[in-house]
Amino acid sequence: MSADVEILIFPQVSLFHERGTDYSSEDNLPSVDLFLHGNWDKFRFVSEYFWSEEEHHFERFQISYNPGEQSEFSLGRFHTPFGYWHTEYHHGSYLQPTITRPSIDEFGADGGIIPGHMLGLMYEHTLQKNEAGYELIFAAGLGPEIDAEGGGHHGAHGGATLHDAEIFDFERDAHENMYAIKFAYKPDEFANDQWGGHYIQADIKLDSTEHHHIELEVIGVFANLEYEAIKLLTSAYHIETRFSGGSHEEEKGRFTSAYVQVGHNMNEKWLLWGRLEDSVNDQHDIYLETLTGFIPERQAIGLRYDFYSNQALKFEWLVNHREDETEKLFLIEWSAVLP
Amino acid sequence: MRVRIVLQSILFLICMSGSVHARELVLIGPESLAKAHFNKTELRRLFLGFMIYKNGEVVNAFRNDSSEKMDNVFMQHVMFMSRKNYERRLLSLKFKKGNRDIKALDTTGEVLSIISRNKYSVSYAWSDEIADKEGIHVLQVLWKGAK
Repeated sequence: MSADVEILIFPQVSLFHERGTDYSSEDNLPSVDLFLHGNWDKFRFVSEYFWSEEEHHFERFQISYNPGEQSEFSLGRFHTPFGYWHTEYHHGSYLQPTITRPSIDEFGADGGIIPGHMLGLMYEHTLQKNEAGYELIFAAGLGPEIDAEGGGHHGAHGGATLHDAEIFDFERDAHENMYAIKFAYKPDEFANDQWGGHYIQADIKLDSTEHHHIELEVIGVFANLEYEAIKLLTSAYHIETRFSGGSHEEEKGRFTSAYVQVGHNMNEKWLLWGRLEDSVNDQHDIYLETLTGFIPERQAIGLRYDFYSNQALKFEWLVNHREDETEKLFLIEWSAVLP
Repeated sequence: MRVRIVLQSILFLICMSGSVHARELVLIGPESLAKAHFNKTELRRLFLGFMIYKNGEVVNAFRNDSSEKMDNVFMQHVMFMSRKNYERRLLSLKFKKGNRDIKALDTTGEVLSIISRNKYSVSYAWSDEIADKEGIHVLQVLWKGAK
């Protein structure tokens, strides 16, 4: 039996402008996501390599084995199984409806606070009952470290960021264990409606004199519902952290963040959408004071225009509210899938 | 009496012309899959690149892109989605899970050639275009209707 291999290329160019500032060439962000996948008998291979002017690395690199139709084991670097957005949309912007991701679903290097990738083993089990599907995913492996200098795809507001374990270049001692479990129910396996929940537990080393260790727990629920031309996506996350070790006493933090996004397909080419994101108990949270890229409150509205069956032009207006500042941004993005 | 015979003859001709213009879209495969049956869900999963097993082996699927009519029938009556939604979902599943690509072949001749060379491959064609083709088995009827 011959192997079946395909390469897809997802280029994108994003322009962003903050109101009240001058335009700069640094506001122009080209990037490309190279996706290679192959199938051979009961094995599957997925590799996703992201390149931008600021960094380049393997986002995903996993080998999967299907002992039967309903189950799959994967080994390598994969997306942490949680939420709807994080599971449905990866790094190729063309496939997601908007330019920005909800802040709670953001990748670590871009200011996200939930580890977006794991290096380890994942097991997925799907049960079909007539047209409905039930999905259960377990994952165990190495979680992130804290990158004190931040950076990443867009600089992440200058503060420390999560840096997930790389597939080919990582220090074993810098990464501790992480576990995730996700379940989802789809009334019609072939439609987009689904709802479910997840739980994540991660130990993260902290290179600080005050504390040496973070214990992170995330519980979340989500629902994606589509009725004719209307799409509704909502997610809520409760995050608890415990900082320990070092010169300071143990400190705990907890906060909750949620968002609602509504989209309207005006016709086959145009999508109009709006999103509200908000958090409670986030002020002075020790975890958010460590990773400062998170945006606790945001209002966003946007348009997407599809053309030539493989390209999209997106427009987005954002108002980001942080504890000490508010910023208003306008973004434009061209994205595509090739060939 | 004579009028009755004429009317019955006209009715007979109408019925005959209806059956002459009926057409079947059939799922086809090699000898190794001759006794296999795919339910509605399996067919949709198969043509969206999911792994479907028959006789312990992974089945490969190919699309027959030889005619617009066939494509419309396949999308509406087998996949239950538009062509655009099908391609979008196929792309999304490839990117999300690494689902296999479903190659579309331009002619029924190419389809028959692939099926006869690959032990566990399936596709579809008009039944009248594959009658008596060596090595090709009709696995099940996907759709029956007027031409």
